[in-house]
Amino acid sequence: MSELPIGTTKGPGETPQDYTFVTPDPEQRCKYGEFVYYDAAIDGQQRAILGRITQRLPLRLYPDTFMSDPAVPPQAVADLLAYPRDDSELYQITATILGYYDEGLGFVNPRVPPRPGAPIYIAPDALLGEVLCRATPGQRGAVHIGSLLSRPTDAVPIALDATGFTSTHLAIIASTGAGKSYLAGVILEELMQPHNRAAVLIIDPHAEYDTLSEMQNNPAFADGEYRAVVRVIRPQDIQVRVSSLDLGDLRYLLPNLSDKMHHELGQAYNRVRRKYGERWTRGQFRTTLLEGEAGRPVTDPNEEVDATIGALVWRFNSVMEHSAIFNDHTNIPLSDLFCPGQCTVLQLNEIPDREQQVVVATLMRRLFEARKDTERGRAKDDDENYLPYPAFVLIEEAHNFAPANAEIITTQVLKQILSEGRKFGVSIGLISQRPGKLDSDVLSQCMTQCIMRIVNPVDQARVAESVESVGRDLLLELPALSKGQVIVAGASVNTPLMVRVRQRLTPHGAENPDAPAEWAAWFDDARTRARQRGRALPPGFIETAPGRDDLLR
Amino acid sequence: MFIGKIVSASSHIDYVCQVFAKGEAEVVPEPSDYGFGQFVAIEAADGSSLVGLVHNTSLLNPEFGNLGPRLSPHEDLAVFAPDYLSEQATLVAILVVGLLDAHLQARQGVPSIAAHPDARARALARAEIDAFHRAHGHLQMAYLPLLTGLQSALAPSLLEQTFALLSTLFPADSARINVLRANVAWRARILPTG
Repeated sequence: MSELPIGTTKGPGETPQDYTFVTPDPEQRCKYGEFVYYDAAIDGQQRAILGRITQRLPLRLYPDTFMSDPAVPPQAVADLLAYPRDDSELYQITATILGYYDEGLGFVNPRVPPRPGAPIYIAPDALLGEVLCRATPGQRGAVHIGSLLSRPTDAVPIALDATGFTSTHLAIIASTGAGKSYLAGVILEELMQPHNRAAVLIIDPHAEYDTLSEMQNNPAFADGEYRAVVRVIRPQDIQVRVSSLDLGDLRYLLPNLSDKMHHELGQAYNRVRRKYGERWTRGQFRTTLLEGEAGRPVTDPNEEVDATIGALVWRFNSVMEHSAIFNDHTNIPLSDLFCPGQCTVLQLNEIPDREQQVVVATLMRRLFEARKDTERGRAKDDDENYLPYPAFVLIEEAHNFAPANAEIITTQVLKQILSEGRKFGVSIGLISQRPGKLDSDVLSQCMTQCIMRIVNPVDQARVAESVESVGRDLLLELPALSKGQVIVAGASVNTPLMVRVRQRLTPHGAENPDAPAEWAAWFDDARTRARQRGRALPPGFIETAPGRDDLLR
Repeated sequence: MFIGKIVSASSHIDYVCQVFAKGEAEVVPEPSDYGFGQFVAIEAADGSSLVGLVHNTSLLNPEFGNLGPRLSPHEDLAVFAPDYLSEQATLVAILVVGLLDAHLQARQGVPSIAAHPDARARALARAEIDAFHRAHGHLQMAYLPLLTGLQSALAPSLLEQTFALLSTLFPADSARINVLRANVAWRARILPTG
């Protein structure tokens, strides 16, 4: 198919999918993760059987004694023996068979390893471009995230298939500083480009995605009448109608409820819904609480009531009346949050954790219900919950919304969307720096995984147990990945890949602050003078101020 | 050119050849004619030739160790006892690696026939070396296991020298030869030294 062979098949490897070949590899092209192929006749047709390099072992090791002086390289000792340097390099490479690529079936393993002595070739860029990804950059549904790591930059562009992760969900997992927010930014840029025009919401607890607004002024995000819209919803603009909370949300929001309070709260919740329907106000709920099961009319709000009810009302007031988020009548309309060609950034910074979780839970529940109602024809054009297009929600710090070993208010709705969302066009992207703290069921249901550098052994173990599509060989690479390098696996690519993330078109909003530079700036001339001016006494103050003697006198 | 005659054999393929000295042949062979790694042919009875490689040299000198006084000076011995002088000889060991028949058809490996005593050995011409190694237009070295199995410290050098010679004769096959040469060099030079 292409150039000269890179190596020669030695024999089978440790597993039925592995084979070994031997190569001098003078240019060091047989890197970990590199793709190689051999030719085989499959059903009378010559096919390139692709494989990925998983191990590289030197076969000719210089004797240890040649290395007794660090200043003398072993090659120099070999020169003494008139041994040609070029002949010393010889490696045994283990490759895992992926198979030949079939348009309909994907990679098909021929189940027969190459014959011993068969030539092995480095897979050409063009071949990899055709078979590794289902999507071609720039085409509809393509999310161009970068290029294949084992090749020069941009030699083999890698594009995720958006139909994969917008139906069976996405997970972006990495340690702090590995570039997960950057990658998320790249994915969002691609989703908002004219060839995709997605409806996207970002749950942004650290307010680091507002730089995406630059998309609106960037010609890459415009085509004809289309122009990407970025809507940033600040914490003070978030509104949640209390009647959109369910009983679980209320129980979660109100602190330290006793068993009796739980009971009374549940009774009151059911009564207020029976009495006022889907829309009720805080006042109505309070009244319903005070009325009790007997429905005793409340004539004096300051009347002495049962201690449990009183405590419940106090808790309800403390959370609902003093929150800037909860109100009686207004929800952010779903059509404001989700619209094709619009990227909505929901900033949750400055909001307490519990309220963040309730905001996300109610929002996700409303989204899922709206999509269900719309798909089933229960919601009409002017209904509040009419949403006639799929939506993708990217959740930063996902471990706060679906923590391991704890069932919080968001866990249930996330699990429901992860398992049923595909049918109704609701998909989720989870971003987390602590997969060890993320619910394993939630993680395992994200069928497209972008995994960046992970050093923590607990996090590595969680990834290994939850992410089945990534082979062991690639998981071993996790601590060795550099910033901006990602392992992509699952439903959006044809095989697990190591990718170098491309440059973003918009500025990155999560850069680390440069503390030493800021400390140094404190002492620069202009700022020092400004501080001195600020501390200086008003003119004439010294002359007119009383002296020590005056005071004593 | 004949280099000597077979005087002994330690096995079916390992012969000792006594190099012709002055007076034993019309042209006395030069040391390079029977040098280490030289391809030679031993005359066989049926007109064919056993093809071998010189893989060792030894010197026969009865005078060695005889340090006592001489009745006759060395110069007089050539006049009064020339047979005594001829007891000095150069012996070369030849490893037979195949056979060239009268029509220059080559068969590599252990031949079925053996050389007889006094059979003459001659240096193989380049054309004969080429014919011996060419099979279907390409280089063949089916006798290589005989060389690698040689229990001698000289065996790796013999292999390397043979590879070097054949690389020049068969440049089209030099890449294949180089694979074997590199392996022998690694085993012979690097590993024992470490």
